Formats: sequence, C-alpha cells, structure tokens
Amino acid sequence: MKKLLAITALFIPLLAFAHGPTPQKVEQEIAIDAPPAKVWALVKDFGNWQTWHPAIASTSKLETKDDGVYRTITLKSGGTVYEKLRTADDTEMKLKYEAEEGGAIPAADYVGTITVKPGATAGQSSVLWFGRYYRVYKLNPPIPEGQDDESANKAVGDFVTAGLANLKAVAEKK
Amino acid sequence: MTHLELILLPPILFAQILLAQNALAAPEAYITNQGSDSVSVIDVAQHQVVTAIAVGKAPAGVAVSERQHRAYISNVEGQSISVIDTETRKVTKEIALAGAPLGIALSYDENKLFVAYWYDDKIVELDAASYQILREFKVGKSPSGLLASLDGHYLFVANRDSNDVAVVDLRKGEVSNRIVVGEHPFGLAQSLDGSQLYVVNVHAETLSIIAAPYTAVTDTIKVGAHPYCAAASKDSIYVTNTEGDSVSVINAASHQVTSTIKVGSVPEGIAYAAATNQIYVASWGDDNVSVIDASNNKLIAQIATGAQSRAFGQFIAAAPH
Repeated sequence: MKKLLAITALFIPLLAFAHGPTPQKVEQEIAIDAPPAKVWALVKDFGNWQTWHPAIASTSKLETKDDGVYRTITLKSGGTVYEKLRTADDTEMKLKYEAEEGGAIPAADYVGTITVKPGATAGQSSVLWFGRYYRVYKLNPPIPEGQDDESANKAVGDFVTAGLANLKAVAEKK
Repeated sequence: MTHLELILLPPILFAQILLAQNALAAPEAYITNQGSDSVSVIDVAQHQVVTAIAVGKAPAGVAVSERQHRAYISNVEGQSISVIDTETRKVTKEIALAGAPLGIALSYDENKLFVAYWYDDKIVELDAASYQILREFKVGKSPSGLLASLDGHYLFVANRDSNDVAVVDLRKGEVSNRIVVGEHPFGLAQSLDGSQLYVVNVHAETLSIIAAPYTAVTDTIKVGAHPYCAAASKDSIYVTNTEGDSVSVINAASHQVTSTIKVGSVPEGIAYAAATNQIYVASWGDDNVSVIDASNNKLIAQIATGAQSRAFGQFIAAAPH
C-alpha cells in the first residue's frame, strides 16, 4: 500500500501541472566536413535516427496522426521515449520535434530544433541543436534527486553531445 | 541644486536644466536573466547595457516603479523577491517567500506588490514599504501574469492551468470573477488607457481581449506559435511567439494581425517604451533583447544581455502618475 501511494504521489503532479516555472536550455553546435544536403538527409529521416545517434537502439514504425508524425525510440541504455515530429523544413533544413513526458530521459516538455547550415567553406556544414525543456518535478522544493534541473540538463546534454559527435562521424564517412 | 536656486536662475538656463534632468530620467529596461541570476539594466534611449546586478536564483518576473526608484525581481528558484534601488543600482532587500514566485506586479498606486505563487495557486499582496504580507487571494492553477487595472480597483491574474483569468476586486478583497479564456493563459497586458485587457493563450495560440468592465472575452485573435506575452503601444498590440521566434503585431482598433517581425529566438517578455516609441523584447534563446521601432515595426537593434533573458512583467516603468 505504501508503495502504491508513493507511485500515485509521483504521477498526480505530472497530470496536475503542465510544467514548472523555469525552462532549461541545451544549445550545442558542431562543424561537419560534409555538405549540408548529406547531413540534412540524416537528420530529417525521423524514423531512422539509430543510423547516426549512438544512444538510440531502434525506432518504431512512424505513426501518422492528425497533428503530426510520431515515433518511439528505444534507448541502448534501456527505456523508450515517445516523440512527435512537428516540422521538417527542407528549405531551411530545420527539424523541430518534441518528446512526450514520462520517457526514459528525465526531462519534461522537451522541444528540440536541429538546424543544418552551410559551414565555413563549400562542402562543410554547421549543425545547431537547440532544446527547451523542464525538470520532471513539478511541486515546491525539496526537489527529489533525479528529478531536478541538474538531472534533466545532464541527460539532455549528454544525448545531444553524443548525437552530434556521431552525426559528424557518420556524415564524414566517404 | 535647491528649489530656491532654480527660481533665481535666468529662464533659459532653467529650461536647460529641466531638459538635462529629463535626459537623466530616460527610461531603463530591467531584464531578468534566469541563467545568470542577474538583471541587465538597459538605457532605453542609448540601446546600451548600463550594468548587470546580481539577484537571487533564476530570476524571471519584474515590476518597475519610477516613483519609488525601485525594481522588484521574482527569483523563482531562489524563492524570494530582490528589491533593487534603481538610483544606486543595488539590491536593498531580499524578501524570502515560502513558494515559487513568478508573476509580479505593482498596484496602480504602487503602494502594494502582488506576487503569484506558481505551485500554490495563490497571490500574496505585500506592503511595498514594510514588505509585510497584507492579504492572500486564492486563485486558479499555476497563476502566471499579473496586472493591476488603471482605476485601481482590480488585479487580473492569468491562471495558466485553469484556462481563465481571475479578477480580484481589491476593494472587496475577493475574487469577483473568473473569465474563461483560451487554453493556457500566461502573459497579460492592457491598452494605454486601460480599457482593454489582453491575455496571451500559449496552447490556444491566441490573444483574448477583455474590454472594461472586464466581465467577458470580447474578441479572440489568432497569433503565432506558442505565444507568451504582450505589450501595447498607442495603436498596436505586440505578442511574442516563443516557438516562432517572432512578434505578431495587431492593430488595436481593427484587431487584425498587420505584420510578424522576426526577433531573437524564444522571445518571452515584451514592453513598450513610450518615451522612445519602441518595443523591447527579451530573447531567452539568444540571450539578448530585440528593439522594434513602433512607428514602422522594424527591428532596429539587438542588445546582448545575460543568459536566458525572460523579463516577465512590466520591465520598463510606466510614466509617473
């Protein structure tokens, strides 16, 4: 019973509040020695990020709903995240997606944007990954360990760093 | 210089001194930087950061009083209000609060300070002289934007997760009405004459207009992606679209969107500087402030601030009244 109450206590706040008051940011950029079109082809392929993101083991079949395209990614570390593609703009080479709450990455209301731009010289690219999200915990302090800003920042930050590094490696392969 | 000396001066010199004093009193913008726990002070006429002031953890909300020479800053994670003396540019008081303060506003007479407790669904009223809590008002879920009506009678509260605006009757000391608006109302603004209340609905992506006597929504206007806050000039309403990296401009008379201006990424707080007829927009994503000329709605400057600028509230003082 005690355990059940603890679980209930964990879930009620998630339903009661849309998000906390302090958004968190991730912003990382990487230079890639490959043309923007080649990099963009990898990024825009929403159903196959496992081909370049080292933390993703697999992606479900894409699911088309009224308000967008959805996928479930399964992480190599275990657990899944249910995500929605908002837009993939070929002209701007900009992809915008969001993660549903309660997934394996301890962050809430995550919205990410990946933009591929021309690099310093022809045949090179610059990729910017920008995200806004909140910590999981949505009540007054004390904030439990693992549900705080630091945990969200580390999990999202590590995911982005690893993704960009291997996107570079995959795109630069001849 | 004493008043007597001023009276004894030749009229032309007297006029020059008055001009100089006006120049000194040029408005300033107080931009809260959530990520650097600071407030950037911007000289509105010069488009320059004058100084940065350290405040509490994760500052977001702001309310500025010209008459008191003060800026009040809500530190969301620090659970406090920093009171800045705008003449010495020093924090003179940090008021500890038992909650997460986000929205903050002064009463029309500037003698009271209202603070929204994000998690506790209530507003507290503080005496701006003693900092004592005078009253508490139970409102809806996740109270966000706060605004006092210009007749001094009401405090408006955007209840983000109740999808309504609470009208607090300050004379009766009670919530007199709850007006249903769009999904997730966050920022509030009003026309310069106070006859129109503007409510920004984040998920509905609309602006609700509530005309005096503030009993019902009188119009709803579609704006951009994930809008947050609004500000009014003489003839237009400006709305920040956080996921559009833009500002929607709405004609205040026709209620038509007349243009959309690209600004820094994730624009949040917005305010109108009457002295220069310019709109200031805090960009959380780009750590800067975009300045729009309200006469032609062009972006004319971008000023670097601190990390994750939010400036939620009236961050440029209204003219003294």
